[in-house]
Amino acid sequence: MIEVHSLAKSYRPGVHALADVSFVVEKGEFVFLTGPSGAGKSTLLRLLLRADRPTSGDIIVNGRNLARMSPGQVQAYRRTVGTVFQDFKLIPRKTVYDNIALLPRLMGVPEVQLRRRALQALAEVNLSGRQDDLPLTLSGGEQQRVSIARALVNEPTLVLADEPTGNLDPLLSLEVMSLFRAINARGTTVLVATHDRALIRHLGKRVITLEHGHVTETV
Amino acid sequence: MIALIRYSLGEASLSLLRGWRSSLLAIAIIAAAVFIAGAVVMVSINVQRILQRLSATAEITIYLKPGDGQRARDTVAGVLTSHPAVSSSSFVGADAALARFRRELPDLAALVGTLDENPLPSAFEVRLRDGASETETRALVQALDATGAVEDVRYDRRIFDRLAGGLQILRQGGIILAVVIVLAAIVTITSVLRLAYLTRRDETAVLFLLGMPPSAIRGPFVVEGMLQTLAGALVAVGLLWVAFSAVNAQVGTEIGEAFGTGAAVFLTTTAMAALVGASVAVGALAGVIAAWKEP
Repeated sequence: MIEVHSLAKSYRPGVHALADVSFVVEKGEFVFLTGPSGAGKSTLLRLLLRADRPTSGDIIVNGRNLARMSPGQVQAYRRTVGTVFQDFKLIPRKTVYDNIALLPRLMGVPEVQLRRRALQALAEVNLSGRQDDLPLTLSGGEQQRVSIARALVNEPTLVLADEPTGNLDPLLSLEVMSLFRAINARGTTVLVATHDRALIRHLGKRVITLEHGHVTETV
Repeated sequence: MIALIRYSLGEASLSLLRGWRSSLLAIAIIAAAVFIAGAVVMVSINVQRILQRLSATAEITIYLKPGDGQRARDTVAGVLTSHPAVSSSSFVGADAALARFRRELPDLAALVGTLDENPLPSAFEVRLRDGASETETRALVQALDATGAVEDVRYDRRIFDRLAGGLQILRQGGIILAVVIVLAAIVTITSVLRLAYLTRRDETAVLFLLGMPPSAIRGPFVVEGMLQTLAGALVAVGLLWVAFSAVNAQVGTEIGEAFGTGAAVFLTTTAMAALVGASVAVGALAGVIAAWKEP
């Protein structure tokens, strides 16, 4: 599913955000990406989303090298990936439903089908009936669940989550992680970046550890 | 595509309402630009009509060389009869010219009476055909010169040529002024849209990361620019109509009667559509420029 070969990223000469990073994530796997702040987790996720280009090395997702994609192909690729951010990144002036439905609607998904998929995604994150609420009327945990529903509505084969529990208390963090586990259980590949060791231990999934831009451990 | 248009319209309308002050500024500037461009077009169309009318009624007076007699008269008459620019011509002999002089200027008649011989030459008075072109008229004058029988040609149309030249300068000045204001309008609209773009940068950046196509990111800003310029152009056309009606009510009839051109004309539907269309295109261009850089 994901192959990372000898990946390096430098923002300034001599300063490596990532150096010689290689790993493989199989289809349907659940993998934690962990390490201390500044280890390169977010950089790696940005590269996996093609929000940035590597200085050297290759990232191959579903057999396609991200570095060789045209701008149009990059946008099409991003639509196949469900992305969850630490700060939710919901559009505050749009309702929960519109936040979830906006992108597929623009991509031409018929409204009837879109409504079914959006309400189903909301049900999966236990937010049925909240589709008309505005994001700022929801709690942090609920907002993160909306962003997970947004990531699911396109029925992605890969979900990337960057510190999805970073703004949540431990109980809500467990709740969110259980959602990712459920998503993974139906065959979706999930890659979650987190520095929360307790959560990782609790879920007991494969872990890739980054330190100073290097992979130091793969368990 | 329909979803994209609907989304762009919705977002653009919301943005216009949220930033109504800056939107009004942009609309006012585009209205000023279109008003000036439209006014230049309208004034030049009406002045052109007057010039055409004056030009059509202009006369050419051809003075024959003294003493050349009947042969010169026949040669010139032959040219005038066959030339397409000529509507009619009449010969005024030297004696007839003197008689006319005495009749029309009795105070000076005594002065002429003291001379030994008639100082006035024989001449042809030529009326040009309606719609005779400038090129045809010049060709006629050249043909007359070529006969060798002509002493001088008084050509009223030269005055109109100068007036037409003045009109051309007015047009060019108007176009330059309109271009300057249109450029100012583009800069203003682009700045207003860029501000709207930056205000929503967080939002567009997220949508971009989630895979929204660039056309959907830029669409609302392009539509916003088009709506602003459409409003500005419609306001300008409305103001032009008000100004035209006011001026026409004051002096339109007098000018029309004086020059025989009838009532002044407003912009044609095609001209108005061209002005509005060009404005909307400018708005779309400003939207593309404002949202060109990826979030």
